Amino acid sequence: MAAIASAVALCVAGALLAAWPGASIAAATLLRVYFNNERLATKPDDCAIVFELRREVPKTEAVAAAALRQLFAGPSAAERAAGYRSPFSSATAGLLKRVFIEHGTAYVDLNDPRPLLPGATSSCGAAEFNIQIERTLRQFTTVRRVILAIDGEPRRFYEWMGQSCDLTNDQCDPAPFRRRRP
Amino acid sequence: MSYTVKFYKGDYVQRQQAANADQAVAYVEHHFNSSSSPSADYAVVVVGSNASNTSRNWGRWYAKAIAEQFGTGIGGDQGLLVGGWDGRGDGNVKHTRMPAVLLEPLFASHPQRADAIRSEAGQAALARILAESIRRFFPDGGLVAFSVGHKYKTSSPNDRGAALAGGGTEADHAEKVLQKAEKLLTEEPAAPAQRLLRVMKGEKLLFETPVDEDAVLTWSSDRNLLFIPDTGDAPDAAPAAAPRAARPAPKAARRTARR
Repeated sequence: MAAIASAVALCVAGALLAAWPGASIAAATLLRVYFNNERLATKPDDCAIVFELRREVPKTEAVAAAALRQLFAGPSAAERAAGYRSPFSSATAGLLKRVFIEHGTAYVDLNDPRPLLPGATSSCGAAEFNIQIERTLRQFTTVRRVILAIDGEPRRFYEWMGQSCDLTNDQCDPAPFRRRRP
Repeated sequence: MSYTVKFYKGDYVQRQQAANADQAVAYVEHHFNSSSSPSADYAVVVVGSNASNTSRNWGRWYAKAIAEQFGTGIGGDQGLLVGGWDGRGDGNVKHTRMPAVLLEPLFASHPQRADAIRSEAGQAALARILAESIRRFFPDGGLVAFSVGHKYKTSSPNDRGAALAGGGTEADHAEKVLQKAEKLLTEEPAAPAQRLLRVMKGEKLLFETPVDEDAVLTWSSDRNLLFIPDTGDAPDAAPAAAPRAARPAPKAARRTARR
């Protein structure tokens, strides 16, 4: 199933390539990342409005990982000058430990972000953090849901975010991360 | 009526359970907001997904009072994020059996607001509004539970929350505000039952006078005059006693100004 998901994601990346004139399918993979932009946003109090930027990376089949690595490196200086904003920056470029997709869910395992992103649990900071990851992953039609973990432990992530792990949800189940050890 | 205040420590669920066991009448967790955009600037309050009307009305009142005092916008739905953003923050307040709010009055990432958060005057203003809100929504007094966001968590003892623009941390300054609010609630006399009209310059009280509960106040911008109708049975609108800059605001004060 994971192989099928990866193949579909690759097709999506290929479709993106076809949509961008001048892109070289053989040499590169084109992806989208999503950041906030304080100049483009029409509702300044909505921290969950993001805007697309394009990234060209060396050709890869691991498009979800490539997109997240681009996201976690944050906007470039020129993009920041154009109003793009993100909690991510060069300091968080190594945040991704791994990502895999199973049954429509992207499981994102992070190296501990807590010391690097102390503002990410405020209501606005959490919106920025989560929406940028969600939108970047949901460019791939195989991804319908995103679950995050810190060092393979989703409970650690969601408790950091002040979000309950209880019978009303399954987001804190560590089993998928344990099944797919790196 | 009188208030006692207790600070709760440990992980967030444990704090709420302890406040439940103590039968607190109200639960306040104090944070500051943060954004990657330094211009983000609004007041908002998170209440649990299971919040009572008291929690919701308390949160909205507080966010509006903060926005009026500091000149910020109001975030969320009229100042309220029910259940937090997509569930984030819900677990901080939804386990209480009493009304509970998670406060994010100002943005730590906004340079001017960060200056206010660091200042004595800014902390005093934040504390006064919080104390006023508690007196208004819990007029019978009782135990008020305070929780300093991020700080004193068993699972993450070094967490101090967001960095303030220009230096300092969210948690250390939230704690200072709560300590000042505790002082206002526990050391000052109970608010008088009568309606008061107050004129303030920043945190300094310039003028205070009782007015009739039903009086409709009219502001003339041409004359710079606030007209108080003489209803005959209203209390004398004589000049107030000497300003009392640091005393807590009576519960009716803000209602007075907005009518």
